[in-house]
Amino acid sequence: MTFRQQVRAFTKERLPADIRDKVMSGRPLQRDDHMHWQDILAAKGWIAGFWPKQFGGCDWSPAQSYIFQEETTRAGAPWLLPFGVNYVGPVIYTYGSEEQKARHLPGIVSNEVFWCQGYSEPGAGSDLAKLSTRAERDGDSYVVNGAKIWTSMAHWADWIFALVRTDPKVKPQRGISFLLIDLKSPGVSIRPIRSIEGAHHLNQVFFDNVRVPAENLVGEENAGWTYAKFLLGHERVLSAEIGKAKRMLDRLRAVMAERHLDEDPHFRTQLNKLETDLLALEWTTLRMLDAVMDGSAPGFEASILKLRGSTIVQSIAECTVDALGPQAIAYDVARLEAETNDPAAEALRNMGIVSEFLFQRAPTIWGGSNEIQRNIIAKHALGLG
Amino acid sequence: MKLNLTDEQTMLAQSVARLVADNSDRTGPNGGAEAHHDPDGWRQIAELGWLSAGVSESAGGFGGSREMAVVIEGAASTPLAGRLTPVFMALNMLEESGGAPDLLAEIMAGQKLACGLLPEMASNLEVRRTGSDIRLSGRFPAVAMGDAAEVVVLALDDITVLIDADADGIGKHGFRAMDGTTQVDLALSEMAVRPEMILASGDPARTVQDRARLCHAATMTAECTGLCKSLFDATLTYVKQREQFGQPIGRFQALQHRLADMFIALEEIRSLALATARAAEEGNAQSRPLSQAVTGSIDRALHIAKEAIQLHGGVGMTDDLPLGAGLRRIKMLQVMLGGGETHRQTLLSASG
Ligand SMILES: Cc1cc2nc3c(=O)[nH]c(=O)nc-3n(C[C@H](O)[C@H](O)[C@H](O)COP(=O)(O)OP(=O)(O)OC[C@H]3O[C@@H](n4cnc5c(N)ncnc54)[C@H](O)[C@@H]3O)c2cc1C
Repeated sequence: MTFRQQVRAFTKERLPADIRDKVMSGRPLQRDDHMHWQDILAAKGWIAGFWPKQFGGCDWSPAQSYIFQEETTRAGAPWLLPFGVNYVGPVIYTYGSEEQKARHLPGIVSNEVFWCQGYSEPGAGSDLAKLSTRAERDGDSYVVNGAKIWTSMAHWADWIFALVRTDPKVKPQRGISFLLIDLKSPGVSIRPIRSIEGAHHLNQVFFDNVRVPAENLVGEENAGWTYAKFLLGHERVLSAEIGKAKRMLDRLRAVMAERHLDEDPHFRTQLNKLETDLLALEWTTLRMLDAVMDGSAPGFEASILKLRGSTIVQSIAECTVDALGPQAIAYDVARLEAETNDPAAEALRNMGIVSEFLFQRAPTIWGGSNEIQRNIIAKHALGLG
Repeated sequence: MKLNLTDEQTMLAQSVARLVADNSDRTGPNGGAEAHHDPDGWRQIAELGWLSAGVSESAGGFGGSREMAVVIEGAASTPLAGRLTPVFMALNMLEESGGAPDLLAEIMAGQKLACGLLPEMASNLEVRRTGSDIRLSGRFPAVAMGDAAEVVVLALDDITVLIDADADGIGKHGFRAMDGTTQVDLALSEMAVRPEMILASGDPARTVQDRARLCHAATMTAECTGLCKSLFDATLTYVKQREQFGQPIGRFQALQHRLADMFIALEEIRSLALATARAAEEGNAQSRPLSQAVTGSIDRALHIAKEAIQLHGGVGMTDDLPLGAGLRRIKMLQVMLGGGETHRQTLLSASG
């Protein structure tokens, strides 16, 4: 069996139907849904497939990672939460101490520790280097004060990896450190933020004199910006979710058929365009994977994937709502979250489609907004800076 | 042709703005959650004359299409706009038919609630006639105000029908909608149309229907205008005040162009709304320009709402600001029957 066939067969056999139905309809997932699927992956040893074997991975090539993501998401698997596996894990095994590797990597590979990402602050979003959460050395610990915002799933998380300011006197990028913080530490509080689709995944995280053992500093003090940029690179490579876009296109076609819009000239034109965009994105991704495997990809190419990946998914989500027409009007978040998962419940599926349409406004904002990606392309790829 | 507002219209706009501002705690984004009809608020609106704004002086009101548009535009950032629309439609239909002057007066005074409907707001609407017996069947999947309305005025091609909302043959099922309001799924099954329910028939009924269509188009474009004005203003203010990279983000030329495009879109929505209000004033029910104005303003409004969210960054994704509520409302105007998508279909069809 090829790797692709293996992943496909595994997902088909092991992905729980209730989770798949939720994902397929775009309904918000709960912590348990994510953890359940990730436990299944962990048991198979596939949660951190692209990691080196020595840390619990499978040494997957970028092409394998891509195939894995495409096959699982297309089949309706939840988004593999990236905070541990894709973000903090690689930072720790690349820059962390032996003690940190031993302490933190196994919990990610076994899916026991839930991580969240503490980068953005109210005053530091696109201009992340201006972050102001302070960490002051006091004996063998740091004392952290400040606030993070837009911290996805912090209310479900055990640990947060945070960028903190350890030297306020130097150039902003030079005074940042990368700190691992146990969210159970005294002085940490989490405030929920409701987002426009009515769900709660965003949070504000406050640090009030939180003592963090100095051993939780990753790498060197004041070198956090380097690690942060390394991580953002990882964030963007996977941002073109081809499998997810394919899955969403399948659903758009289904809705169009249901609503007898297959032959509607407007919707046909829209569908053709979305399919064409996806084809272009897929092959752009493959070209870049090829380049990455040859070790020759300049970093800015990830910006293209992030930009196009986010807008395509956004457009498919919106077009699906349009195709639903008046059936998209009923929307009740309380029902969407509370009701049991009955795949036959068309009303819930329709609400899921609406929820996804609203939520999909976010990917063009997060992970370096699309405006910032254009700046990167203009400056670094085109030399227009 | 007078395109700008008269002094009276300006005063009306100010009165609407004042009430909306005074009630901003109730009418803000979370006011959208104020799903049910509020009788006290409604009486206040009637006392301020908002409801008479949709009715001409000869019929006891003080306005017409422009005044109605002024009210809807001013109330657009609140859930009120969506609730006023069906009432304005009913008022326009009643006035045009001349059929029930007492009812018209009661609605204007805020004592009765009515809701005006058009056939394109229904799926599978069927009028079955056997001799003099007329029966109506069909479903109106999303009727604003349907929970509170005591009467429904339905403008069919050749009859205008006044229906008691509790009549036999009417089923109502309330649900929560994308914009946070309560809508009613209203089903007619073999509902008998008795002669006394017919307010107009033949050509006059056709005129009532034309006027209802004009009224609906005028309210939708006015709502887009008002909503987009507040979304645009909020975004313009935000990019001047939000600093990143040591300067207000509005200094970045990439964003300046985006704001410029939003501004152009807003100006065009105003133009389309004005064209529609004028057509309504003149009773010019030509369908193509009407459908163009509705689809054109909803498309532009969607663009503005999405840009407003994007340019606010993370804050744009929160329900603390009215941006998401704006997007949800505009999307609803697009997908509801009789809304943007229906008008797009009209433009595609040969008859449109
Ligand atoms: C759903 C969601 C989940 C998130 N999850 C996390 C998380 O888990 N952890 C975390 O740390 N962060 C998270 N974020 C935060 C995200 O990374 C930030 O929102 C993003 O970096 C933008 O920052 P900002 O919100 O402060 O917007 P701002 O930086 O204030 O930007 C506002 C607008 O200005 C534009 N802009 C800014 N600078 C320029 C420029 N130089 N040129 C042109 N345009 C510019 C932006 O593109 C945007 O349109 C999340 C955000 C969202 C929406």
